[in-house]
Amino acid sequence: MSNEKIHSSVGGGGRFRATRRRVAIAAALTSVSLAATSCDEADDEDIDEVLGTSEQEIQSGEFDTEFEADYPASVMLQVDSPFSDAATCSGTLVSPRWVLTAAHCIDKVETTVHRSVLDWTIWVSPRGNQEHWSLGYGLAERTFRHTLTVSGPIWFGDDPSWPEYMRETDIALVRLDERVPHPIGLHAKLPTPAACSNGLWGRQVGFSPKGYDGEKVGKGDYNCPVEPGGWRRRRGPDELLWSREEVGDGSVFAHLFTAPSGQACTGFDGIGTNGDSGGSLFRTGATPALHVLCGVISGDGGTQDYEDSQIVYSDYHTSALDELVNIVEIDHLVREGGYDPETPGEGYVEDSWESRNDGVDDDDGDGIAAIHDNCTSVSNSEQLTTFDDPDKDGIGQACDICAEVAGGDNDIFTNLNREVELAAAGYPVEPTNPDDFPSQVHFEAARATWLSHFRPDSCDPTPVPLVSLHDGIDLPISFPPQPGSCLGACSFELRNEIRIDGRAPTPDLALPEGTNVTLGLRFCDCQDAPASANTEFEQGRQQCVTSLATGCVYDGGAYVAPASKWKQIRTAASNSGWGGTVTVPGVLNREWVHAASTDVVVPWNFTDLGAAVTTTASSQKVKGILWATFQNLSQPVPDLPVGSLKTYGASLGSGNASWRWKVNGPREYHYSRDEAFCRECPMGLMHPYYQISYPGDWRATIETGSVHFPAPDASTLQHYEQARTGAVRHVAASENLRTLARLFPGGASFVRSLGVEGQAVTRVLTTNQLDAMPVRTAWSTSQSGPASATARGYAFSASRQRLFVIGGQQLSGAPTNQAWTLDLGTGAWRQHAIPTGEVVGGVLAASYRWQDGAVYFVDRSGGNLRLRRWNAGRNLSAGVLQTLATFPSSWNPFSNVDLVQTPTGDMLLVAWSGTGTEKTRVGMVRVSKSSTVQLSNLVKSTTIIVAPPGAGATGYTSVARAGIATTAPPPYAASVTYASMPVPVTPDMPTILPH
Amino acid sequence: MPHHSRSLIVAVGFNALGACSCDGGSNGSASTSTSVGGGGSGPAAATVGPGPVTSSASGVVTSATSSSASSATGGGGGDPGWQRVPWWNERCSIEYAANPPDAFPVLEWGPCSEGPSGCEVLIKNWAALSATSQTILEVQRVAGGHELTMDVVMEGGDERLPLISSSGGTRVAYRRPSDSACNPSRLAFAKDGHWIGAQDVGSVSTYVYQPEGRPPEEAVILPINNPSQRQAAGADVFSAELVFAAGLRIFDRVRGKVFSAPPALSTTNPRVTPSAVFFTQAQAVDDPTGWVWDRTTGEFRELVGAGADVVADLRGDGETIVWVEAPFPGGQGSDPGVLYTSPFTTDPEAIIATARWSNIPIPPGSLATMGGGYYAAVGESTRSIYILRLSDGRRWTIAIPDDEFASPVKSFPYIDEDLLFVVTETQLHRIHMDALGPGMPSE
Repeated sequence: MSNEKIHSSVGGGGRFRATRRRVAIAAALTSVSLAATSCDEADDEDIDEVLGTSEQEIQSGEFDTEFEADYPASVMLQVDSPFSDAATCSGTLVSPRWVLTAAHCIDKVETTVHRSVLDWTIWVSPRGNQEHWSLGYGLAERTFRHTLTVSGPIWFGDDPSWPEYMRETDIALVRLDERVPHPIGLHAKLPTPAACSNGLWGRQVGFSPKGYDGEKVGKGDYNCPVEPGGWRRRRGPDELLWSREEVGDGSVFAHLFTAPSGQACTGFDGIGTNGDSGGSLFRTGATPALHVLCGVISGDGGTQDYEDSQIVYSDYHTSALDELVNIVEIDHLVREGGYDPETPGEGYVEDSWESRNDGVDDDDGDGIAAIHDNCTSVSNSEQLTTFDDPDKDGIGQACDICAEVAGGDNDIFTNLNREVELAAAGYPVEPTNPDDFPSQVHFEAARATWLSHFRPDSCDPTPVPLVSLHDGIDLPISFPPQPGSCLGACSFELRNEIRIDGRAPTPDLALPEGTNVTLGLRFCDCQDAPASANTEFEQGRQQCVTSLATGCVYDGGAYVAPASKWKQIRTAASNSGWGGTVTVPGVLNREWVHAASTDVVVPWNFTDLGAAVTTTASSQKVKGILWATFQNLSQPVPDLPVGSLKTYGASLGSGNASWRWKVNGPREYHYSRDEAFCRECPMGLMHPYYQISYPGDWRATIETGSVHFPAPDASTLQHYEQARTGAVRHVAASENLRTLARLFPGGASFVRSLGVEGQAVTRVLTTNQLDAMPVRTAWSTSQSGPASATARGYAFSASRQRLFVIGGQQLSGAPTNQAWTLDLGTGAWRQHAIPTGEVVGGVLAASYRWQDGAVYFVDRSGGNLRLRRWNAGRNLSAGVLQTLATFPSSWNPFSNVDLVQTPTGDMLLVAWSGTGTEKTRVGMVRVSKSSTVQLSNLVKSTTIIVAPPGAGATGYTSVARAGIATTAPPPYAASVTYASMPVPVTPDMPTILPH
Repeated sequence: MPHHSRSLIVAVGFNALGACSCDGGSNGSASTSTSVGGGGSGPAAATVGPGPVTSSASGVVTSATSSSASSATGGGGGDPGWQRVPWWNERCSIEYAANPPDAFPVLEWGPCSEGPSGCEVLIKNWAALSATSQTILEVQRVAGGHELTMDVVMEGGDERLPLISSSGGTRVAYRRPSDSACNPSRLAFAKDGHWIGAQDVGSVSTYVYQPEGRPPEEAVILPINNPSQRQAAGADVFSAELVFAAGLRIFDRVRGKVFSAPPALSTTNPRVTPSAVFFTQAQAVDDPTGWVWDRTTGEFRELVGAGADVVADLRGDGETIVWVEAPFPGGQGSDPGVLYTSPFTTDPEAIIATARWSNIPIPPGSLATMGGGYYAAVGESTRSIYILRLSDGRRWTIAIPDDEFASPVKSFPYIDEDLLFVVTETQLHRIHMDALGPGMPSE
C-alpha cells in the first residue's frame, strides 16, 4: 500500500446515514493516512499473535442472517426524538447495558448539553429485524428501551470537561433500562490502542434496508438495491485497510478512520444506503470472538480520485482508543442510585471504579472482571483468545453445563438455558451483575419467575412439564354423603393430586394431536432438610438436594439405583378424558401424561409414600421433591427422537402434599378420590372399589357384595377352605397392600402368606402380583421350631420373608414365654430370649410393623388385654419387650382381635365377633416416627364382620354380614363397606403406658 | 458478585478446632470433664461418666458404660459451647463446638441382634437427643483404631456433625441449628485437619480447610463457592459435585488451584485418591462412563467406557482401579455386570483390564467403597454386599445386617482389612472382616 497521504475535506461532503436527517460535522479533516506504512510492523505482529490473522472468507455485502455468529454486538436503534420523527440507526453493545452509537443519531444537533437530560426513548433491537420489531418482548425478538427516568441521560462524547484528546463529536453512549441478556446479544470486545492503531484491517457492520449485491455499476461502485425483508444487519463489502487520523480544532473533535473507495454502494460509503450510522468498525479477527470494536460509523468523507481508484472516505469517530475504553467501562459500571433525577445534569457517580479494579470482583482470578467474565467461578482466560461460548448463551464453556443443544437446534431463542446456570450457582439472592436489573425489585421479580418455572434440563428445547404434588381442592363440608350401609360413620379415603403443569413459559412441545408422553416420577423425602427448606420453591428443593441428611442427590437423568433415596411413584390414569373420570386400574402402572398446554391433574394418594408421611392427630403430610423424567412417546414424532427426550427431559417439582381433618368438627376434604384395598383377601374378596369424581360433581359408586377370585387350583382352594374351618392357620403378610406394592413393584415372586399346621409351617402361598390370589405350594424345613403350644401370636413379614412367633401357652396353661423367628429363605428357626421378668400371655393378635421392624401384639394378662411390642429387629432404642397399653374389661367379650397395618404405619386395632350387642370395635393405633404409640378414634358397631378389615390411611374396608349365622360357606351374603373413624376417644379406649 | 464477609467477629475463648482431647487416653474419664477455652469464656466444667474403652485389635470401641447423664446433651453432659464459625455469612448459622466432647455422646457398639457374624451395631445412646436421622459420613484408620464423622439430625431439627475419635469421643463438632436455613457440607478428613463447609442455597457456598488444632479464624476458605450436592475429599484434595450433577469442581490444596470437569449431562460420584479423582460422567442419559482427573497434570479424561453397557462404578486406591460394567437397567431392574480391575493408572491406554467377578449385580449408582485392599458394593437387591479382595480375588457376599429389614442402605462409607461400615436408614453397623469366613475363591 502506498504511504502517501490523501487529503480531503469532509466538511460539506459528509453524509450521515441516519434515516431521519443528516447533520454536517464541521470537521476540518487535515489528513488521512493510508496507514500501512505508518503502521508499526512489530506492533502489528504482536497484535496478530494475540488476535490471530483474518483469513476467513470474505462474504461482502451479504446481509447477515446469522447475526449471533459474527457480530452479536451490533444492534439497531430506533430513536423517538423529542424534536422530530424517529430515526433508525445502528449501534454496538459495549457492555450488557450500554450501546455505543453516533451522536447525530440522537439528534445531537438539537441538544446543547453534553449530557442530554431530555426524555428520549430509544428502542434497541439486537436482532434488528423489523418483522419482529413490533413483537416487542416476544420470544423471537426483544427490544430494549432507554428512558431518562430509569437510565439517566445520554452521554455525548464532546463533554467539554474532558480533555480534548478524549472528546469525540459524533459519538454517544446510551444506557438501557435493562440488561441485554447473553442469549440475545453479546457485547463487543472493547478497543485497545494496539488493536485499533493505524492500518487496521477491519469491516463495517450496521443495519440498512438496502444491501450490497456485488454488481459493479461503475468505477468502484456497486449496486445496492432495496432487498426484501427490510432492515438487516449487513457487513461491509470487504475487509478493508483503514487509516487513522486525528482531528481537533477546538470545536470539532474526531479521530477518523478512512478506507479506500470502490467497496461500497453507489453514492454511499457505508454498508448500505442509510441506517448504518452509529454502526461498528471492527478489527476483524480470525474468529468472531476476536473482533475488536474500533470505531463508530459517522459519515462518508467525500470522494477524490486517487490514481485509478475512487477513494471513498468512511469516517469513523473514535476517541483516543484507550480513553474510549475508560469511558465505556467507567460508565457501564455506574451503579444503581448513581443517577439522581433531582439533579440529572450531575450525571453518574463513578465510585465503583476503584472497586472495579482492585480484583475483588475477579474471584476466579483469571484477570477478567466479573462484569465481563463469561464464567465468574472458574478461571477461564481462554475467553480472550477463543470463542468459548458456542451456544452463545453468554456462559463460557468452563461454566456452561448446557454448552450445546441436542438435536442440532442451535437457535438461541430456544436455548434459553441461563436458568440452568443460575440454578447451578444457587440462585443468588442478589444479582451477580448489578447491571443486569434496573433495581433489586426487578431482580427479585425475575428470580421469582426462575424459581417457579425452573427446569433442570431446559437447555433442551423440549423440557418436560413441571410435576408436583398438590393438596387438592377443599370439598364442601357436606361432602360426602352418608351411605347407610357403612360401618360406623361413612367416609372415604381421600386422594391428593399429582399436578402436571402446563408448559409455559418454555416453548411448547410441538406434538401431534393425540400424542401422549409417559413420565416417570420419583419422590425423595425432604423431612430432614432444614425446616426452612420450602420445597414448594426451587430454592427449598435445592436445600433438600444439598442436605447431607436427606440423601436426595439428583443425578441429572441418570439411573436411580435401588438404594437411592428416590422412590418410584407408580400410578396410572387413562390417557384421555382428563377432565372427566380417571380410572385407576392398579398401582403398578405407568403414569400417562397428556402433552397439553394446560395443567392436568392425576389423583394419587401420597400416603403410599409410607415412612415419608408425617402423621399428626389432625393431619398427614409429606415434604419432598418430585423428579419427572420423560420415558416415552405414545407414537413416533418426527424430529423428536425419544433418546433426546430421555436425555434432557426432566423437571424437579414440589413433592409436598397434605390433608387434614378435624376430630371435633366437619372434616376438611381435599381431592376426592376414594379407594380401598382388602388386606389380603383370604376370603375371596377382591379390591372393593370406591370412586368419586371431582368435587362439585361427585358421584359415588358403592359396590356391594363381595367379588370372588376363582381359585387358581384345587390345592389353593383347599387351603382357604381349611383356613375357614380352622384346620390350618392362615398367616397373611402383615404389611399393608400398598406397602407390598412399594416393596415388590412387580415381577418377582414372593411369599405372601403361609399356613401353619400344629407348630409347623407346611405351605406357603406365593404370588408375583398383588391383585391376584397367591398360589399354594408345599413348604417344610428340617430345623426344629417351637414346641407345641396354643394361643401363639403369629406375624408374617412378606418384606423380610420371615415369620415371627411370640408367646403361647403350654398344655398346662403355663406361658411358653418364647419368641421365635423362621427365615423362609434358609428354613432356619431361631429362638429369641424373653427378658427376665416379662411374661407373654395368650396372644390374640400379632402384626409385624415394617416401619420399625417390631412385632406388635395383643396378649391377655389377668383376663384383660394388653397391647405390647416385641422389638424383634432391635431397631428401637427401647427394650426388647414393652407393654404399650392396657385395655379396659369392655374389650374382653370379643373373641377375635386383629392388628391391621395401614399404609401410613398406623394400625387398626380390631375386636370382632363380640358376644354382646356390640359386635365390632375398631380403634386406631397411631405410631409416630419415633415409634411412640397413641390411640385415637374408636368405632363401636353392631355390624358383624366376617374377616379382619382392610386398612386405609384414615378408614377401613370390611365385609359385613346381615345375619349372624356363621356356618354358611363363602361367598357370604355380605356387603362391602368403607368407614372412617371420626369418633373420638371414649372411655373404652385402652390406657397408654409410658414407653 | 456479592461478597460474603470473611472477617466476621466471633466470640473469643473458643477452643482450637480439633485440639481438644476428648478420648479418654491417659487422662482417663476425667479428661472429658472439660473446661472450655483458655480464655475462660467457655461453659462451666461438667462431670461425665466413664470414658470409652479402647480395645480390640482394631482399636475400636467395643463397649463403654457411659452414664445416661452423658447423653443428655452430648458425651460430657455439659454445654458444647456452640459458636458461629467465622468464615460463614450472617444469613444463617453454622456453628462449631468450643467444647466438642459435650456436643455428642460417646459412641458405643454392641452385637447385632441379627445379621452376619462379626456384626456390631451402634448403640444409639443419644436417645435423649432423639435423632431422627443419622449416618456415617467418613471413616479413616488412625493409630489405635478408626475415626469417623457423622451427620445426625436431632428431633427438633438440630443437625450435628461430630468427628469421633478412635476412642468414641467427639473431638470436633459442628452443627446447624434448627432455625438455620443453611446446610453444612460434608465433614471430611484432611491432612492435618478437616474439610467442612456451609451452603446457603440462595447465595453461595463456602468450603474450608480447617487446620488441626487451630482456631476457626485460621480456616482456609477454598476458592469454590458453588452449591454442591455431594462432596468428597482426601488429604489435600477436595471435590464438590454441583447440584443436579451439573459439574464437578476439584480443589488441590497443595497447588491452590481449582479444576473443573468438562460439561456433561451429569457428573457424579467423585472418589478421591491422593493422585487422582475418579468420577462418572454421562453425556446422555443412561450412559455413564468412568472418568478421572489426573492430579499430576490437572487434566480430565475418560478412563473407562463400557461400549453398549455402562460403567456402573469406578474407583481406585492408588494401587488398583476397579470398575463395573453392566447393562443399563431396564424397567424390571438391572442385569448383572462384570467387575474389572487394573493396576492403578490415570491413562486409558495403560489400562490392563482383568475380569474379576462376572454376573455381579451392581447397578449404576450403587453404593460402593474401596480400601485396605478390598472393594465392596451394595447389590441390586440392596440386601447384599459384594466384597472382593484385590490381592487374590477372593470374594464374599454378605447380607445387609438383617435388622435393617426393608429399608435401603443409606451410606456405605468404608472398608479395610479389619472393618466394614454400612449404614441403613435405621442403624449404623460395622462388620469385622475376620468373621466373614473363607468366602468364595477367585474366578
